[in-house]
Amino acid sequence: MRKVVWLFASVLLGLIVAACFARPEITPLPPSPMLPAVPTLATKPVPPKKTPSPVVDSSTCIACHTNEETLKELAVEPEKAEKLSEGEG
Amino acid sequence: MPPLEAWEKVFLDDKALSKTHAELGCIACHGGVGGTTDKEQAHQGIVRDPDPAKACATCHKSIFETYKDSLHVTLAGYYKVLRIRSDEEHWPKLMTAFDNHCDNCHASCGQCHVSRPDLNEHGLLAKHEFKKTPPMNLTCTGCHGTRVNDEYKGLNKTADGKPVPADVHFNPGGMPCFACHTGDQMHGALGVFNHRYDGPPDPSCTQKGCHENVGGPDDKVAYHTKVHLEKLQCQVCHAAPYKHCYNCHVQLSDKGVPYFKSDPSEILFKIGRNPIKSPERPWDYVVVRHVPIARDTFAYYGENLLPNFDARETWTYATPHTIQRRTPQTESCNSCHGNAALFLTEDFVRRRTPDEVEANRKVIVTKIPPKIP
Repeated sequence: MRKVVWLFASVLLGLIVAACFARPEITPLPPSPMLPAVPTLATKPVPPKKTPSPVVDSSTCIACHTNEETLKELAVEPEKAEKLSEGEG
Repeated sequence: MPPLEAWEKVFLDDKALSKTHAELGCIACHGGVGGTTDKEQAHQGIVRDPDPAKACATCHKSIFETYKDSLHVTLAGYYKVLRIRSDEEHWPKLMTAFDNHCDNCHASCGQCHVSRPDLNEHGLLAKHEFKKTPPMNLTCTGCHGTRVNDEYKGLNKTADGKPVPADVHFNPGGMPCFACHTGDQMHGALGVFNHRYDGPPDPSCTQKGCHENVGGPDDKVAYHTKVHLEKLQCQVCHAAPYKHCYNCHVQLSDKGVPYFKSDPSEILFKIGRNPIKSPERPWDYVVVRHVPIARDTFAYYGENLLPNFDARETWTYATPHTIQRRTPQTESCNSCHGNAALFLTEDFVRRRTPDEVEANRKVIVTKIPPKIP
């Protein structure tokens, strides 16, 4: 009986060791219907997306410069130079 | 040109803000400080007219490459004529005058495509919408007003009160400035020149698409003889009287404000000898215009700053914008032949600009074409 137990244990160990060294069989997945794995000639390559350069927020500039009432209140004509010229320039 | 109120000059609208340039935001080109509603703080470091090299060249590189050497930027034409009339000794003082009075006569990208030019007190053309083709009345003739605008639109009168008609290209032609003066010309894409009359005529009357059959087998105009076409600039027959300016003097006020004074202008027609005769401008006779220079134009800045004044004519090669199919010159052969009144004679120069006879030796007509019996 003891012999049978040892035999069973050895076979089990052998199976476990063999299973550890065996290479798994990989079945490739079918390509996704949404994203074809390989672009074809008919497909336009998508250019890499540019990293947008940082744009400084101009919202306050625009808010003021599109507001007629505010501009009328704040815009000041710079002092005009004396008009001393005579004749055609 | 209608003046703009201070607020109108800087008023933006949604149309402009929906275009490509607006994606850059304001601060990328104009500087200043975002995120504040305080006017003073927001405007710190602001640049009203951005430097084309920084603001425009990033995207419009090829245009900028030639534009930077164009005459509207370099003002090379002014330097060329002043170099001829002055010398090294007087140059520094002359340049002080130039900086005060002449140096603002140039155009940045923005001063044609976004705003009125500085010379016209600036202000946005169309609420900051970028205009690929600048509106001629706010930009081109805004600066080129005294001579070109008035001539082209028929706003001049001769001394006896007779109106000079508009240039036929304007009325009835309806051609704006840029129909002839192309973007390539404005952007210096046709070459680097030291003066507007350097290089081949551009535009040329006989260029492709214009009057290219002149002198050809289909040309039915009797006056278009080989001799006439070889000897006469087109304008000699086809220009109406145009403007001449005299005696401009520049100075500063007590407060340091630059100003000028010039004598009243005159509407005349004068034919002279061609001072810039070349294979590209081979004609013997051309129309000439008196430019406002005088021997002492810059006297405020120093004595005799134009010591070589006589080295260049003051009645200069001209291309007036008063073109007509029929003019007094085309009425008959003897409208010109034997008619000394049309020509820049020594007698006329002595009477009109007595100090400038030597300067104009090259252009004074000594022999009037004889009357045809």
